[in-house]
Amino acid sequence: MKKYTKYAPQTAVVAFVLLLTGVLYLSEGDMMWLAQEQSLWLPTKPFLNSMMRLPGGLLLWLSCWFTQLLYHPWTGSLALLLLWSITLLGVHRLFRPQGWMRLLSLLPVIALVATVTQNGYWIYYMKMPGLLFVPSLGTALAVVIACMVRSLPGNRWLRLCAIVFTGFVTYPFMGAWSFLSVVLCCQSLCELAAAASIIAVAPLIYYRTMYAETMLKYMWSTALPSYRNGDHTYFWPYHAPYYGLLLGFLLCWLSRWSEALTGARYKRLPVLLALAAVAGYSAALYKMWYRDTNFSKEIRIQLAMEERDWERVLRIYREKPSAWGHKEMPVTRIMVMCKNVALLRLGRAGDEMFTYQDGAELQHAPFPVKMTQVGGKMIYYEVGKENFCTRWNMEDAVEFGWRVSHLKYMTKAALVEGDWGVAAKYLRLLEKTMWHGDWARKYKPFVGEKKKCWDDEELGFIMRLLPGTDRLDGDKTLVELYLLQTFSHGMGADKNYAELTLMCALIMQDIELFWPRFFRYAQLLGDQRMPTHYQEAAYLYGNLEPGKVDISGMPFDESVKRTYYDFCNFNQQLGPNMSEAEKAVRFRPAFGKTFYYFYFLVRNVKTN
Amino acid sequence: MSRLTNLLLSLVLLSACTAKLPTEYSETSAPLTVYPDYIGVTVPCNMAPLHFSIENEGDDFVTLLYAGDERLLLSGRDVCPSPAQWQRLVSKGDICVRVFIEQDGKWTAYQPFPVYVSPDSIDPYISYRLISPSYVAYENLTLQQRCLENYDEQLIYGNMINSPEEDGQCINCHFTQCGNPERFQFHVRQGMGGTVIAMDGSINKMDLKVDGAVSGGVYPAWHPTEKLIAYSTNKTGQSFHTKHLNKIEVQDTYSDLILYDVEANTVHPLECDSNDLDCFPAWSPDGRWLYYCSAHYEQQDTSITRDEDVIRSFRTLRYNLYRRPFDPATLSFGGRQLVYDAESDSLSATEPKISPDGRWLMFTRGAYGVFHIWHGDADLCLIDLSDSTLTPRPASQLNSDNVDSWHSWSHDGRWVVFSSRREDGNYTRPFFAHHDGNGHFSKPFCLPQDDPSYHRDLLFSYNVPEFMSGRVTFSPQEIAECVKKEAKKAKK
Repeated sequence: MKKYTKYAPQTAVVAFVLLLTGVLYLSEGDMMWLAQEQSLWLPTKPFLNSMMRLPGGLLLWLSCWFTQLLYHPWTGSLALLLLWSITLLGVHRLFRPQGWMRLLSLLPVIALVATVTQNGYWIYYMKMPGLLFVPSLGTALAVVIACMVRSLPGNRWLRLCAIVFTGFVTYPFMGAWSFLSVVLCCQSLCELAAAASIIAVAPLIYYRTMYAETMLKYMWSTALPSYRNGDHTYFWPYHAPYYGLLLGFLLCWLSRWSEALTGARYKRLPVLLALAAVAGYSAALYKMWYRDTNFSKEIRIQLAMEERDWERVLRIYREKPSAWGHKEMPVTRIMVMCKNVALLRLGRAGDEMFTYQDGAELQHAPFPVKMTQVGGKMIYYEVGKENFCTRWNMEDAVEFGWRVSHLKYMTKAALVEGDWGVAAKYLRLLEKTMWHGDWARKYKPFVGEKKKCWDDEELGFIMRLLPGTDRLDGDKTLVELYLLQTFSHGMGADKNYAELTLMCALIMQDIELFWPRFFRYAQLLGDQRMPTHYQEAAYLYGNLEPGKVDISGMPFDESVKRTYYDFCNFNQQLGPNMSEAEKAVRFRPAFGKTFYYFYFLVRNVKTN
Repeated sequence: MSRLTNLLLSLVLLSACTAKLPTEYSETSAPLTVYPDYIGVTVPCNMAPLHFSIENEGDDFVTLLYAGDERLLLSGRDVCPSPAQWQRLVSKGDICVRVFIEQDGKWTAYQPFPVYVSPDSIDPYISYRLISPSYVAYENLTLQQRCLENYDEQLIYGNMINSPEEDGQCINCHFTQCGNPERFQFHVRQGMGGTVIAMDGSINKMDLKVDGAVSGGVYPAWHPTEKLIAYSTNKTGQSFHTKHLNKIEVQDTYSDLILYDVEANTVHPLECDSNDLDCFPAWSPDGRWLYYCSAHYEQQDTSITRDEDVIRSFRTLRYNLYRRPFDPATLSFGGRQLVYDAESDSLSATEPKISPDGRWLMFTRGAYGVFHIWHGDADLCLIDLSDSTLTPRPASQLNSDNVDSWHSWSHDGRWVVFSSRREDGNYTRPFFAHHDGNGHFSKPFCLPQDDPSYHRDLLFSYNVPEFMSGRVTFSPQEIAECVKKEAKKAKK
């Protein structure tokens, strides 16, 4: 029995780390997929050069390579587990905690898990490449280097030299993480003073001699993420895990004096304190873990759209966690737009577009999330606004660095537009990535083949939505508003284009815009049945402005007419004194899935 | 760091150079494709080795390069002669390249192709800006200098050294006085804005915006002998095509010309008619003429803003080439003379540059507009100034199906470097061509790189390539210190 209890602390530590990795794997697959889509690693000289121009470049380059592994959550989780295991082993070797004090070695790992799970929409907005791996890889490398230096034999001067040498040599490759390695090397106050000197001086020397593409003040924080958006740095709570990491190491270091500090009388106190520290860290991790259903749904919808699985888009849109019960779950505008694109592709927009929950929930981020930087580029691609898709991908690539998603969407936009040269360039780059080669090989045959593109289910559909004529324009970063205004004023000869203009005219709730597009769509529809929402709009507008268009000869469904009269009667029953907001609630059960409801009771939907 | 990478790469390449010429092979007349396309190009004798990659399918590759009695055999898809090997070949004259490709155990010899070697050496450096072909956003911008005799690329100045996260900084228009690296200027916009001017060992930041001017200096032209810089002043806007592959339209709503006296720190207005959009000044080599382009614009619809009106009429705004005589002694200009009436051809002519012998005027011509780097139809054209008819003709040997623009003459006029998007339509690359002095050019070739696929992998454009006779010796940190200083206000 004693034999087993002897290993109980180690077992507990390993089990806890495995548990954390398991939870990460099971709950963050979507986020991991997004993180690798929002990253890029290329085995090319320009890519390596672009990383190495800053201190810490090699660490960033390696982190980008590791980020590729997130394409499959299990490979990504295993890679993180490997780095955390190295950190754990290193901490044990460096600080040699005994017994249950070994639990303290969990603290740095818990902090590192938080650096992975706290990000949410920051993944789109972070300028530092390899965000999810830099802290774990930087820490693992720092610990390994410290173990190696500490294992050097020799006298005090040799050790001091080794620390100084380590600081100078590792800084260009690891940036600020080299500071951690030199501090972890130290075993005495004298060594700590040497380490502090190196930390103060090395960046300065490198700034004067080697690196001319970063400000002096950033030389001490290079390869550390900056949670900055616009003019504001979001220091708290995003930097907390990094301080937690340092505190964790400090507590591990202090653990060697635990018994001396507490004395034999309070023998169990250090263990209890260690347990409390682990519990506190775990609670903080739980609190900081970014959980948002819409964030996850947006990612899954994006993936479903890329796989052209439109039914899955609608299924995800409708999904509701059981905790919501009968309550309606708020949706973001980008989700609404994706839903409408899916319905257009399925040919069911006219019957279903108002049957889904509508809304304008803002993304749960500490800063305003712009549609151009989240899903807007994808929407632009899907509706034939290829220059705008290209533009916003390029703007983002410039501001946040090149990512797989930029290359993919710019490739597809180039294929739709017939910009063959640049499509071939991006495909060649994507072929060099770890997982996106198949994607590139799928689209490669389309380069230079306009007819093949036209005949393709994905590309051909979008090519038919391209604007008929060219003009100069701008979206002022408001994707939805721009598309609504553009399409609701458009007039196309293609049936899908005509339907898109009609959908937008309905959403704009504009009678003048509606009729010409309705007639054009009806003309292209031929003998097929006019979808319900379009009938509802025609019936409503015909009754609202009887003199404008004579609807008496139109073959409306009986249900359309009946619903309209029921709607009017219900409105009269409720009386004139009821507010619109109250009416919206009362009308919703019976009429919430009609255009009538949308026209009269959906107001002030704000887009981002 | 990049030098270390180069050294390692060279060692790997050298170790791979153990090729054997196949003894049995069949001949083929099938086309050989190499990247970059160096087939039949003319290179200066002092150029870095041309490294290229064989594009044809194959399992093994052997390339024989020979010139006179000098032979070099290299194996592999990438053909990368070392500088010493290249110099031995070049010293013997024109180089012949023969490629052997093995497929399914059988060797095939392709028809040899020549690389002509010109005894006219090229200026040893070019400068350029590396920038993403972006629209509005900018982040990491660098002014670089590249030695053409090897592959060394060095930073002149990068904006990130002075760009705190809350305030970006755009840098552009690096120009020298006739390629002299001791005298250069570039602009800094937004954060720490001003014009950095280096002159014979000193470097200063100036504010060239004077009262009543459209802007500070924009497109510069150093006087060839005097300490004078002519600038255009521009109020520029961008709009986006909804469909066209040109993607973006950059237009001026106002633009004039000014003359800046560097020593006196004074700005003299030159062309200030708000109905004329004047741009891209360029001096004749004797400094007695100032060439520029100009479009006549009158607002068509007064119910909208001038900016909106310019946007609406973007396809009809066309620029002609003009010149004005200049007397350096009095700093005075004569009246303007029309050099090329492009508008009458329904075309737009911009970016005039005169060859150092004063005979050839090279310019960019497109269907409309001023910012031809975004116009796929933009081509380089020539006017023989010794011919009184001043008839323009396309520089056909230089032009491609895509953008060809932003050109610069070497100090002796024997070489031109220009920006071309012929590779992929989006990313600008510097191309070089030999000029025979009579308006004829050799087939252009792309800036050689040690890694043949470098330009395919690079996601930056080369912006405004200009020849330099040497290296800028100010360090980026020294320039950064200057940029940090308050700009000295120019006087009117």
